[in-house]
Amino acid sequence: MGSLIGYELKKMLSRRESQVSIAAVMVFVAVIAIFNITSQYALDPKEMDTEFEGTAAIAQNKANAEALAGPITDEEATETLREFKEFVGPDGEVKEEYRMDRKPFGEKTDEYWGFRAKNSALVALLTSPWMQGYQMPESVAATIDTTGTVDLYGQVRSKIASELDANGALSYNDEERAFWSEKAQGVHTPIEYGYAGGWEGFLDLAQFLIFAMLAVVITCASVFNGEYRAKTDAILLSTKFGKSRLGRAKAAASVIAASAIYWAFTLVFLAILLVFYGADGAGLPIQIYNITCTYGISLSAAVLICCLIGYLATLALLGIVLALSAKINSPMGILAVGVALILVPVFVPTMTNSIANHIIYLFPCDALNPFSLFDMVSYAIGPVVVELPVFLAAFYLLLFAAGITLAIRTFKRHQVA
Amino acid sequence: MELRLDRLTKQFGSHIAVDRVSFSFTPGVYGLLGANGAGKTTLMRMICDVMRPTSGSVLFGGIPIDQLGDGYRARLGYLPQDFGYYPDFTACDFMMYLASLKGLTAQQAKVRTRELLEVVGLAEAAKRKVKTFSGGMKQRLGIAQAVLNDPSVLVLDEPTAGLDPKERVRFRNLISSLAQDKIVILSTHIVSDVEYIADEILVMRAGGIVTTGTVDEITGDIRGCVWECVVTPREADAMSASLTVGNIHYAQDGSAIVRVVAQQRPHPSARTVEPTLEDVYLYLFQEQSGCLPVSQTKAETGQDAIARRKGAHRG
Repeated sequence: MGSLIGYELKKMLSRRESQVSIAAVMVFVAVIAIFNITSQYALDPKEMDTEFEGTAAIAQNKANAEALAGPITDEEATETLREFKEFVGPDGEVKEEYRMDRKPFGEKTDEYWGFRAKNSALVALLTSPWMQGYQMPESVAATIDTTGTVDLYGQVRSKIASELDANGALSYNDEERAFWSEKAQGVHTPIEYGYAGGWEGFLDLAQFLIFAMLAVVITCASVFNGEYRAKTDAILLSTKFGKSRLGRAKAAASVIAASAIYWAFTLVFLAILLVFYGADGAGLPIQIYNITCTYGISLSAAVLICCLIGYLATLALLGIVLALSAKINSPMGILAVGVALILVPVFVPTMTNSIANHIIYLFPCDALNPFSLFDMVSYAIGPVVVELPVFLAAFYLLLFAAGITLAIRTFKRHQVA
Repeated sequence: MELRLDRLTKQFGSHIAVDRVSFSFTPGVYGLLGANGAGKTTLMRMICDVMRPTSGSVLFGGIPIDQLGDGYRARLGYLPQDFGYYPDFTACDFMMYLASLKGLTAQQAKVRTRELLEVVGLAEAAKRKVKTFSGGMKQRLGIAQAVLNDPSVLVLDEPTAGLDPKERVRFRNLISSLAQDKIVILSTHIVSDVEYIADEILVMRAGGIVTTGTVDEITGDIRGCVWECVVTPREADAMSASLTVGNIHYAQDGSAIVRVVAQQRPHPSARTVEPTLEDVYLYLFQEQSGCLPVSQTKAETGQDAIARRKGAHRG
């Protein structure tokens, strides 16, 4: 069996389209990562009207976060928000003397520049529980009462509760509401703030893992039908193991190739980001990425879950591709289906229909969006509530198993024409 | 050892490709003759378990091959017509890969690969990629893979197609040397491919076997019906249009020597000659070619005689 798998891998990887697609995604991953790094910017806190870019900006953001590192208590949050509100008028706009959006700057712009250069990321995080839709932190801050100590975590719970009660993009039954409320209560507070640029950067770009899936689709589209087109099927299927071990060897070789492509892409991607951003903050909670997240996990755990879900999605796609490959002669048809499954949901906007959204969340592109994956998305099966990552894992494994089984069975029953 | 076809039928829509064929093979070389579309390839695919019959069955040792599964295919060697290779595999890779599929151990595979590439004259090219091979080299590699597992049943579908005369002779001799104690079924529409090496000839037409027998038996059935005559070129043209003409040789003196298959003397100068398998082939397929309208009734009578001699092969 081992030698058969080896030969199947050799056949698969010696195809020109496989080599080109794998090379293309590896170049692509490097380009995305490098573009992400070079597009970073940060304000220079020491010199007004000066910005850092690229690795200098990363270093500045890291210094800022490390300076503010520690638990975000209500008192700490209150102090930062009060300081921020000093620069903001009651209308939610930056006061005239601090404005920095046009020149000539206000007479005290340097004070606001210095504050923003060091605190903008933390301020964005602290104001987010009060945010309604897309708002600037300044306009949100104007609505926050800081005369007393703000109840940051109470506001977080309140926002979660209001989302659970709203019948918008997602609707919840009583079991689901209880499930998410209980899960939110399990999040440890006060959350620990600090620098985790590498892990956050990966989550920001996780959806690009779909390109590894694309390479897998291209590489594996001809695993079975390549034999039909090459007219080797007659010889293969008339051999002793042609209808038994061969199908399994092809499936195993495909899994190995798909795993190698996906993990090479993912690990190179992650490695580039961690090298340039640093691996600091692996143990910091996901709440510094999204403060209303109800998952009590660290950022590195979130990255790991994201990668694993991406891997299972890759296997599910592989199952579908192999099943089609055993049945359909045209690799272009299979490629079209694969691309549609991977890319079409990218262009589907969030809908108001909860059922439709629950379906969209199952596609790889949405599954790799951390704001969907770690959002309060659940599938209620009777009284049992299954959260999105668990449901996706089960769903993808099922698709993978069904696809592989169907592919092997179809190949075995294939009639030479 | 017996391979038996029991009312084997394959139908594609309304077209019947193989029509209730029954036959028993025992060790020996069987030449399956027939025009394109006669059903040879379809019959062979069903024998090789790569195509399901519409009805009927193939039995090996009295057991249906779909029940034997891997066990039957372990004893089968198959060289399909118009088959493919992996262009980036070397000859050695290709053989080793198929040896794995045929259940040989790594050690057995190495030994057999070396032996067989030597036998088919590809030892020097063992490390060359198959995409650099000529048509003849590919065919030789094809036969080598077919006998890797020392099969009891060897099925060769048009194995000499595309080969030059020298390669065809070499190929025939190769098959003869590999055929001992095996059931070898060799299909072709090139009569000379099987004339010298087949123990028994099966002629297929329209999905059925129309006659079987040794070369002598089959040719004996039309003894007295094969003529050679010296005529003028004009007469030769007229005979081509109305009779089953095998060969016409235009001599230097302006005459034409014509070989004709016919029940009655086709020309006053005609004399009977010994029939060959090619004459039988022409005789049996004359209806399809539209030849011999004058003697068609008699020709059909001749075919019926052949069919009666060997018994009906449509169950």
